[in-house]
Amino acid sequence: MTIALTIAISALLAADVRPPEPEYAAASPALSAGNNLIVSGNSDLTVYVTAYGQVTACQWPSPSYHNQLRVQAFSPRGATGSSERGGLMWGLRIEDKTLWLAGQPWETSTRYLTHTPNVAETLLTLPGTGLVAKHALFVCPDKNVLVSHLSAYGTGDLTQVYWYAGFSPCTLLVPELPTAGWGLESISDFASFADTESGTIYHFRPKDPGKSDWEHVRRLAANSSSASEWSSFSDGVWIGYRGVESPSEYHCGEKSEASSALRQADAGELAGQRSAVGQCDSALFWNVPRSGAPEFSVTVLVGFGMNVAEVRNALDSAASAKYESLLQNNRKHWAKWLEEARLPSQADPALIELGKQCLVVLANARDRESGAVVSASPTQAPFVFDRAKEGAWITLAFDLAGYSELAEKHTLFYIECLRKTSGPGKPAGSLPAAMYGNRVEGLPHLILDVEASAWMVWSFWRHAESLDQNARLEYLKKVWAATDLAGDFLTGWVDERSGEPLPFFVDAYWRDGRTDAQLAGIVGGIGAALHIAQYLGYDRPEWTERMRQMKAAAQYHFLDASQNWKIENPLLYWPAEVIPLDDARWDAPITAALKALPALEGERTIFAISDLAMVCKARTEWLERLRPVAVTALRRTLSEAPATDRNPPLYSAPVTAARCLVAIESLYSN
Amino acid sequence: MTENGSQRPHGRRSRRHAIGWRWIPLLLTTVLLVALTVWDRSLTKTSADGFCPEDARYIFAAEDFGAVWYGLEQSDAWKSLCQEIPSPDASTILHIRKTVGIRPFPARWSTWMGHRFLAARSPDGLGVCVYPGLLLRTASRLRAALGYPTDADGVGRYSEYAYGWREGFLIVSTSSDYVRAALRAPAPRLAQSNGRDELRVLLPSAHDALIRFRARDGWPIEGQLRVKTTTRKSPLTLANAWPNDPLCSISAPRWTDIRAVLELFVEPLHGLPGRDAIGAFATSLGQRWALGSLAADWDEQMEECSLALTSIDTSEAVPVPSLALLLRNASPQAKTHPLAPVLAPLAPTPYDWNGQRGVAAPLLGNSLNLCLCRSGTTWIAATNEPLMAVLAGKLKSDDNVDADLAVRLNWKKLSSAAEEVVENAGAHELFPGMNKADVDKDVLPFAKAIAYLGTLQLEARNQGAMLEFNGYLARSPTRMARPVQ
Repeated sequence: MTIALTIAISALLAADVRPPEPEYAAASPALSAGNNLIVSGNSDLTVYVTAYGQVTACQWPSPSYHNQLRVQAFSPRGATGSSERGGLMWGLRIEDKTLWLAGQPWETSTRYLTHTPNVAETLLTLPGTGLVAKHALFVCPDKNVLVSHLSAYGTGDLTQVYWYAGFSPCTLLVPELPTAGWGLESISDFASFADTESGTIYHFRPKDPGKSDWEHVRRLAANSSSASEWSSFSDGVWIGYRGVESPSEYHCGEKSEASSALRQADAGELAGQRSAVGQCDSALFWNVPRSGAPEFSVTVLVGFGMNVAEVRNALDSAASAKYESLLQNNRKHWAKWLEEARLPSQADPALIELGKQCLVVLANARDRESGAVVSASPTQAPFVFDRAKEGAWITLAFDLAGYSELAEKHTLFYIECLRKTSGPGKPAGSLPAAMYGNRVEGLPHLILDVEASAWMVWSFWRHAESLDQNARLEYLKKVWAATDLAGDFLTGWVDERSGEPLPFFVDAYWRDGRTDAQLAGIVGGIGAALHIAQYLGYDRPEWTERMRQMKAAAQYHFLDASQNWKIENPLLYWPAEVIPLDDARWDAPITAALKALPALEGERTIFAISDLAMVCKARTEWLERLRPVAVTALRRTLSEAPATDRNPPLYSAPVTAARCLVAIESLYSN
Repeated sequence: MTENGSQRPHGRRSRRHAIGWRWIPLLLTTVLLVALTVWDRSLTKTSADGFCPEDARYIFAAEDFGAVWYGLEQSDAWKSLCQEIPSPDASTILHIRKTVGIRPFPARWSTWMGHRFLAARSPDGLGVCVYPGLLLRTASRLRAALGYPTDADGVGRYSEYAYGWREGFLIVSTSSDYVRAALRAPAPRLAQSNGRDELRVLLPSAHDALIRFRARDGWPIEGQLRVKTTTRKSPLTLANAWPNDPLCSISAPRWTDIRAVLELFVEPLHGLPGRDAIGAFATSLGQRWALGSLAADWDEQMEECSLALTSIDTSEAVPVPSLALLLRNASPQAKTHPLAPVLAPLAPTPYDWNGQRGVAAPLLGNSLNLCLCRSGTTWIAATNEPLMAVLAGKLKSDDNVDADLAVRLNWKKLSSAAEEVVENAGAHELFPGMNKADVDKDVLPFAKAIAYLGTLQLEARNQGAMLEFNGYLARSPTRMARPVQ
């Protein structure tokens, strides 16, 4: 009877075992970066999470550079992405097989926690087994600690839980080499060791390790040295992680060798090696009690620092709080940060949630020290930088959302990067085509992007317009020297015969050329420079003359003899204001764009709406026509298929987020 | 009589006697030494080259390694290197000394290791095979007698090295698999040695290439490889036509010949990490640039081509090469530049260089501005305008080369570019296992030292299916002295 009762109660419990109903908010695939669906960070440490909850990149000490994880970033299809094996991932040992929470056969859904778009929650189910895993992951806002919490439900067949770490501590940052952040893994990394006293595994690389460092570290590994001896290395990148619940075993291995933690975890047996040198990986595992509760939870804390003391302090401080408390702190922080947001109160709640996601995407892509906002995914070479052409949207989004200080710091970042003197291929007044968060040039100097200076000046003027009179004057005085330099450069970059800009780099062709968008951008930039000069009382007649010539060139390209549009989509060229934005001749292109909007997908929808919004806000009736169509389209971006299969995934989440915010704000601007 | 009564003659006799006896050990020692030397000589004498695994990717072989080493140290090019690096082989010598406890130099090498030498790399690792003399054989026997056995395959271990004996040859490697493979592999088929100071390099997987290097002044080399190129009936006229010595150049009858040779250098990179990514990038670049295409047989009308890397701009982080191509048409009446279709989609702008008319189309600013023009009977293509201004109308015409293919390399220019690149790479941690200080100490001196090597000059001729070449790795009529600091 007792046995029967026990069985019945157990069965009942098992049947009822479900993860607590999560408060999910849809994560917009349009804001994803490659196959990374969610980003969590604190402006120093930024992690990228796939739809399966696998961490494929840990950018530290800036969202802009140094991916501290080893991932296969290149796929045979010619697109960049990340491998299904590697990075940071949980593995569940079931029936003598380790199933990594990184791909098939798991069925998955990944969402942000409602009101906390910095916490990624992934719900994974193993078809036909009743096993459900819930993985929550976030970066602490006040310390460089990543929290990864796994709960497994219906644990009947589950024997072990693994946590795998494929860290590759990186200190390399090569100017002008856009693959340095992820393509040089083979020369990154140094060593890993387990500090059994604190239960922490460290991966580290001192800055610029030499032959003597390598000899020393090999000796330490051979002699099974103590943690204090390992800690004697100089500052560099130090990463340490530990399980809040004591693991059953630690292991440090050499990747590609028999000691590899991944290979051993695949086989279900960690040898317990305490150190490794070279290309290292490591793992922890916990035995799941056979007769335990139907739920098994474990938490891993990962700390980042310049030396072992920084990491230890960060981990100790995080470990002193419980997981729930860390989560609560995180929620509070982001709730407070988002409180400052000036999101339109009359907007659809789903759009408000989308707006918050956009703001968090921008916050996560922002370098705390320099104010740069990078275009995110580290596996996508062209976008790990701040590019002024795209950054203009980000500055505008910060301004519209009420984060004026962030917008200003972003513009000042460009001033620091502006070339003050001329060099071969680097004229004074030009900006590098792309910049890492620490102002190092990200693309070869052969690439000259004249438009970047134009958009920088455009951002100056737009930001100034959002300030009150006194602040505006003060700000414009601050940016005048850069405006003057850039204005001279923009007005001097002209083919004297045609009055049009000389050729320069076109993203679409990967070479120099001339496009209508370039012309529109430069006209917009010179226009902004003239506004600033006029406001400050400087006379620049040569700029005025050049503006007249450029406008004439733009009119020649965009308008027919009767001064009507002759180009297909004039909305793309609104910065030139060849026709004033409130002119009725915009009506036809707006109508056409609204008609085409429902057929667009993902970021294209957002890009189209933001362009439309920049023009439509000039007239109330246009804005009212745009609003219902745009709201429907934006809501749709929240429910599109996840981005895991997108190919090619070259894609800039922060720029999309910025345009999305601009669109949401503009739709309700009046 | 003497004071002690002994007779002087007797004393003299006994002293003579004593002196005679004293000579005997010396004589015996000499005889023994001679005998041992003769024995040693007979032990180190063999006509075989040695053994290595069957799947060796490359093999170095010398009839007398000591002679090669000595010849190398006496050569003018080596002495030039020593101006910058007092002992270029110091790290190798130090490693050997740390491992076996003996500082090697040519004579000592021959005494211990014998004359024959073979080194090879296979998938199992790197290994060396020598035919040692009496000393090492005795030491090995003693070692065996002292209870250091070999395994069932005959592989023993000394320090970090595995070794094995086969037909009098000693095979050594850090990889025991290498030694095992060498012990059971058939003897490699190597071309016969042409002299004691010759080092043969065989690359079985690279078009059956055989290179013979002589350790003499100028470092002469000759060899052959299986590459199909066009045979010329008249000498090459463009090989030495470049107005300023380019960093390197290759001249041949047709572009396909140059491409075939360049592919030899690209092939070894196939297995490298990132190769696929670079390939995909190159494909994408081609698609994006959307340059015009040439007919498959466009170079059939060419009589001669010469491609040169004239310089490398290392002033910024990314080195930018300057390249130029000279083409000479079989029919001098041709009106259009053979590469004009490539630039056609870019709508190139007309230009004039030193009175020679042409066109230019910027791809990436001034650094990559494709320029085409005609200079006399030669069509020129250059990757930037200043380079075209140096070439147009200024080609030399009085120095022909009687060969089907010619290669030139200016070590001084290469050194100057390499120095910057190495310094930059060192500063950015791009040398695995080394920091900037290590690079400055161990790598940079080599980049600087090659400046004193003069020029590499190779000329090649078709012989059946093989391309046979000869020339000098480091030729300099008057060896440069180190500039006074």
